[in-house]
Amino acid sequence: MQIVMTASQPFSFIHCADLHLDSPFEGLHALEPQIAATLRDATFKAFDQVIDLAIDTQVDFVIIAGDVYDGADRSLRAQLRFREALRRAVAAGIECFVAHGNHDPLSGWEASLKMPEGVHRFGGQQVEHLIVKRGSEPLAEIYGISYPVREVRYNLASQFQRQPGQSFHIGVLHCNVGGDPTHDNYAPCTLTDLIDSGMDYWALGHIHNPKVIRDREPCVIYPGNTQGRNVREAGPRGCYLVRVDENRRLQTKFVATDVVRWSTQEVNIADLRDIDELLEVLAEIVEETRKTADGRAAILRLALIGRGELHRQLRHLDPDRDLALPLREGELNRDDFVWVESVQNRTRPPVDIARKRQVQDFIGDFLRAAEALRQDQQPTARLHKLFAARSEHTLIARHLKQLAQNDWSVLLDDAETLGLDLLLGDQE
Amino acid sequence: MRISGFHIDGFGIYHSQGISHLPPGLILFLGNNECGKTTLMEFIRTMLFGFPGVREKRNNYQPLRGGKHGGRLHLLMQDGQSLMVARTPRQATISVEGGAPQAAELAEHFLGGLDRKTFEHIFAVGLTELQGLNVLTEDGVRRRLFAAGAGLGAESLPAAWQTLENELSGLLRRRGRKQIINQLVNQIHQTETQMRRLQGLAPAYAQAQERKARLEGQIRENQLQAQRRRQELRRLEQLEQARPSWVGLNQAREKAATLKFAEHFPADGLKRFDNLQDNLESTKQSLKARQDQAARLELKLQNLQVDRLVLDHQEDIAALLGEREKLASALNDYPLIKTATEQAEAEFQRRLQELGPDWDSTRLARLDTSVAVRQQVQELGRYLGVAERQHHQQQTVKQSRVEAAAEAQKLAEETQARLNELPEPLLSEVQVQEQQQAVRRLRPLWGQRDLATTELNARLAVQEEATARRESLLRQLETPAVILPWWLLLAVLLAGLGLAAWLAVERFYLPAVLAGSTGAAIGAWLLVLRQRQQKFNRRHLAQLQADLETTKHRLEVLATEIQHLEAQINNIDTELADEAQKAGIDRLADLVQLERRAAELESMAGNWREWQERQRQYQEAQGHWQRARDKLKDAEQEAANAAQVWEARQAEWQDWLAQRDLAMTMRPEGFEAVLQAVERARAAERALKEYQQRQGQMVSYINSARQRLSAVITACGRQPLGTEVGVEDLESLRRALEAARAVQQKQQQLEGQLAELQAELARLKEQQHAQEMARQALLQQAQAHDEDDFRRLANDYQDWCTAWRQIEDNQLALATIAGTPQAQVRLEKELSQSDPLQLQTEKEQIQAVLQELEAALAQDLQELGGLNRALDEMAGNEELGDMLLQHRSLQEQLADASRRWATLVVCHHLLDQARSIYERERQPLVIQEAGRFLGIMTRNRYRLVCAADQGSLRLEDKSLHRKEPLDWSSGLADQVYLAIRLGLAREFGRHSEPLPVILDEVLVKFDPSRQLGAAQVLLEFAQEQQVLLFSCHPHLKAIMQQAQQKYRPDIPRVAYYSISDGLIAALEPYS
Repeated sequence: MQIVMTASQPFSFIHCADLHLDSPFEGLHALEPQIAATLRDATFKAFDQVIDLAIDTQVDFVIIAGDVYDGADRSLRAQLRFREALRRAVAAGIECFVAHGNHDPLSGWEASLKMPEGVHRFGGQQVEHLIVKRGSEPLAEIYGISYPVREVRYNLASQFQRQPGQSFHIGVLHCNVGGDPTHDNYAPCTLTDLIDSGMDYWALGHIHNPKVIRDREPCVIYPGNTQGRNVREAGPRGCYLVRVDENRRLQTKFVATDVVRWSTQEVNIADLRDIDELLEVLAEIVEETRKTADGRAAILRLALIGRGELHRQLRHLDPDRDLALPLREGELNRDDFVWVESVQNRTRPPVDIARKRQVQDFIGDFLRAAEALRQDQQPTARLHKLFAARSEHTLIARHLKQLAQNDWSVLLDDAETLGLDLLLGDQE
Repeated sequence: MRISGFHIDGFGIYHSQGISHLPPGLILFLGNNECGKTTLMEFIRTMLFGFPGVREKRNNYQPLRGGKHGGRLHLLMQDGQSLMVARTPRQATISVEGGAPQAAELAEHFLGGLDRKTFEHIFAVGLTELQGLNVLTEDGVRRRLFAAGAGLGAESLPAAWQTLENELSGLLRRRGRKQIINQLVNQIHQTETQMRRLQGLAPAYAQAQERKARLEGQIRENQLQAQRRRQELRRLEQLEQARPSWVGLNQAREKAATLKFAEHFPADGLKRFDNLQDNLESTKQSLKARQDQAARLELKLQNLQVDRLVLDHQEDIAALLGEREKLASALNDYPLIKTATEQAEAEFQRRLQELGPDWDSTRLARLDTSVAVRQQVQELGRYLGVAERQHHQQQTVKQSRVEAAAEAQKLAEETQARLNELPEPLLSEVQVQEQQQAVRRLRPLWGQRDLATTELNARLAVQEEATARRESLLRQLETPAVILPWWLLLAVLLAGLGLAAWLAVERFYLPAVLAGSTGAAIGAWLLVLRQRQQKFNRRHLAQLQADLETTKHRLEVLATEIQHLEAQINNIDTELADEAQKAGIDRLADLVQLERRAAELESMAGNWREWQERQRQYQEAQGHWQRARDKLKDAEQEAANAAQVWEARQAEWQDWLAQRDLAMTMRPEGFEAVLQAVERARAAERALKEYQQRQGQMVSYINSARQRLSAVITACGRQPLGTEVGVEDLESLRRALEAARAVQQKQQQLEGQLAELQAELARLKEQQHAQEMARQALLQQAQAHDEDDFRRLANDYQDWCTAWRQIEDNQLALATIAGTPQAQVRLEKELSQSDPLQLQTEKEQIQAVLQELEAALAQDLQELGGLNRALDEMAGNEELGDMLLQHRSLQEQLADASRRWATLVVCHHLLDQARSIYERERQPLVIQEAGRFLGIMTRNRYRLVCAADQGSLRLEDKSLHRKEPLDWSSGLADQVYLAIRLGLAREFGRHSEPLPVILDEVLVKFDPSRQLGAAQVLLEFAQEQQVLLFSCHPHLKAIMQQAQQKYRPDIPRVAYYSISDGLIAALEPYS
């Protein structure tokens, strides 16, 4: 289909997705109430910053491409805060277009909370087509569809077809383009499907890392989530500010809106002499994280790795009490706090395991047994069998099943290290 | 592997100690406490596994008696390879079979990665390990033995299991409540329950909003009703409030009408009248006072008198007073000036005398003392001084050069004499060095020959012993064994049967049976005995055969080694002869001869160096003497030149003095003094002239001043105070002038005051007249005849004003109540038409209705407030968010705890696996070896049994009675432990390179019989693996010898060494 472009009014809009309002942060073990309060509010504040950005830059409309809430975890507070934020936008003359995703399907919505005028929610039966106008002149035509239920396994993108019209056409969809294995494969589609639809811009949601799939004809963007919620979502999170000039040329800009930034660092103990030196290094990392967070609060997960004499000292320490706690001192009084979420001890004793494995003694037998398990054809099955032999296993069977493949390998390494520490313990 | 020798350069108290040939088998080191046993053990470990690292807290035994820290160890591997390990704290090298040393790690390359700790767990047994056994429980003993057999630290494995079990129990139990995971699961359930409850808030919120809307409508309606009622009530209150004002207004109007006649009275007439009266009275009083004051002033003026004459000449007097100080100073200074002039005259004369009797003013003026002349004199003086100094200096230099030349000559003669004392050397330095190098090469060669010879002798001795052993074995093989004969068995059996038959025939059936069975039993027993004898014999023969084979093989190996050593010795001899020639020795007999030659060569080298040094000194002294003579010659020439110059300068100065008619003896520096004396005389002359001039001026001034003063005194009609007028007269004039001026000033002041008073009087009179006129006008205005009339009219006017004020106030009150003029008119009209009682009744009714409405409103508002709070709470409820966060946190903790549980289970499984392997594959062999050793130790009294369950050990005696560890005595437990450790060392050595076993005081806890048994075990063990036994008990040597003699006379002798204060020495085997 040939599209004839003519000069039109320039306009701009905000594209965001995956707000997951009021859903808790993942991977946190223990929190001070002050920190917990900041984290609880983080998703709300991040979305408030999106609306602030929309008002400050005087965009024409805002697109939210799915997963406003976290499914069953949504609270009344979250729904009210979301409505209030939209009300602010509408009061500033900005229309809002909301599509729902797998975490907030239409089947789960509370109908009693009325949305303000100027907020448009896409239905789940078919692709809806709406026109955004400035005065009487159309600026853009927006197409969107929501998830009627949680699990949508069919291709929704194929239902999008460009209508006749000279203005800018935008598709809003919560989907998995190209089958990203790290996310559930809901509304799967290909890039070709998106291109063939005839849209000028695809405002997608579902993938939490910001990504520009394609920069033009059409422009396909995942803005990512507005606030990272776990250690796998480190780095800046936010939305996209999109400007379209009179010749329909696009200018996209990522704007960070996250209030709390995740970070993870590994520290090798090989060259460290004692705990004091380790704490100095960790304190430096804390300060470095603070700088990188650029005035934001940060959650930092530290992992100690490597082999060294320090491992023996670390064996006798409680990482949370002896390492994390000193690093948390003074952070409660700061807005730009760096909260050390945990310090994981993954160090190994300063022992040449390959060499010890060759010796024909008890420790050598132990190490060879570990290696045999490691080299087994189906180590996971063997381990499960091992656990199942213990009667108390049923209580946590479900949690053990959720461990990923590489977790098993780490578990085996940890068991080997623990055994070595216990057997070699009297050598200090 | 065994240690074949070691050398300690510096290690603890050891310095340059060692044993070059350490035999295989058992080696006993005896020494008292603190003699160095532990140091030696540590040296061996250090050589095998290295010095402790910087971070290790182990003693590294710094050399206390000198030497380089470290040493070397000679090792003979199981495959016959010879190694030498040399270590210092910074470097480790290994040499293989005489090859070049290379940096390498022994354990890594040759010991299969064995580390120090593993070595100590397997190959080292100490007293402390044995000491701990007797205080342990049965379980503890079992664990210790298991660990001993497994090659672990004493408590590591049991402690490891216990730790795992404890942590697993603390983490999770099937029906547990206090375990970490159990608690987490419960907490998660509780959190999920609360979350479900909180998620029902949304419908409640919607209902609350509807109710709120209805309530707000109801409230608005009631508020409207209440507002209307209040308006009516306000109207009634208004009427009630306005009535008093309205009544008052009417009354005031009536009063004002009756006093209308007083409205023309002046507004403030009474006040003005009173003021005028007061002012008039005041003016009259002021007038009277002024008149009195003027009269007093006129009287004073009449009494004043002024001195006119002095006042007329006051300018002259002022002029003279201006010079008062000058005149007084001149009169005072004149005598001083006169005296100074006389003194200046005397000074001038004295200066002239200083210069000479023929000096006067004329000559003084004639002498030129200009700067040019001075400069000329200075120049001449400088030249003369320089020439004189140069002359003296050159004389001094010449003298010192003479002395230096004499010294140099003396030194040259002395060095020549010393050189002549030494004879010239026969060999050159190069020749001596070559011979010394040859000597250095000879030393190691000699050492090698010694070593090879010693080796050869040792091999020969071993060969001899092996041959004897072989003979012995052959003899034993030939000796037939003693076995019970068959016929004896048959005889016994037949005898029994025969007896039984006879008894049966005699009808003694029971005895017959008894006899028969007894015979059979005895026969059977004899049969078993014979079979045992045969079995033992077979085993014994097999053992002998094996030993014989071993001995034969050993003999063959020894023959080869002996041959190799002999060839090596021959080669060394050849090399020795060549090097001896080079060293200048015809035939080298022994090491002493070599050292003697080395000393000779050293002495020759020393002599040659000395001769060369003296010759160099002699040549140096000769050169020095020649240089001194040359310098002396130069100095003499310089001195002559300087004397000539000096004489020329002196002649020049004499000429200059003659030209100026000055004394010829004068020196240039002395001329400066003459010039200064002339200057002083000239200065004195100038001072004299100055004083004379000042004296003349002073006399002239004093005369003039006196004349003028006299004239003024006369003009003022006065007389001088003394014969000559002076400063006192001037003072008198001054005082008179001041007095006249004061009187005049006073007079002027009084006249001024009088004039002011008269002006004031005139003004007061005018004021009085004006005030009287004003009073009269006021009375006319008020139309009063007099003052009383005036006051009466004033009171009426006041009342009229009061009435009008009341009218205004009441009107204002009514206007305030009504609000607007139109409303006020209506109000007044209503007031005139209304009845107060009727109004009161109406008011009470409206109040009742209003009260009801307000009560209903309060209730509705309260309910609305509650609804708003509930809605706000619901809207702001963060509890679900908190619950979600808590839920997630608990899940994370549960995941962590689950992972930890899984880790512990896997670790437990791996330890189990290792234990199974040990118990299945290693422990049986270890126990087997240990059992054999224990049998030897206890004379086969006990047998070591490994139970199937958990590998626990038991002992079984000859009657198959089992003895648990709890029943073991302390000594028995020690024996079992030692047997197991030796078993482990033996078993380990079968899989890897067997290292020497190091035993530290392991026999000290045993009683003598057990010691003997243990000694036998060690001898037995040492046949296959080197044993180094350390002890501070000398009697151990006797025990070893006894054990060897009694049980193993066939084995090579045990090597005995003593250690005493860092010195190692071999002991004779029989003391």
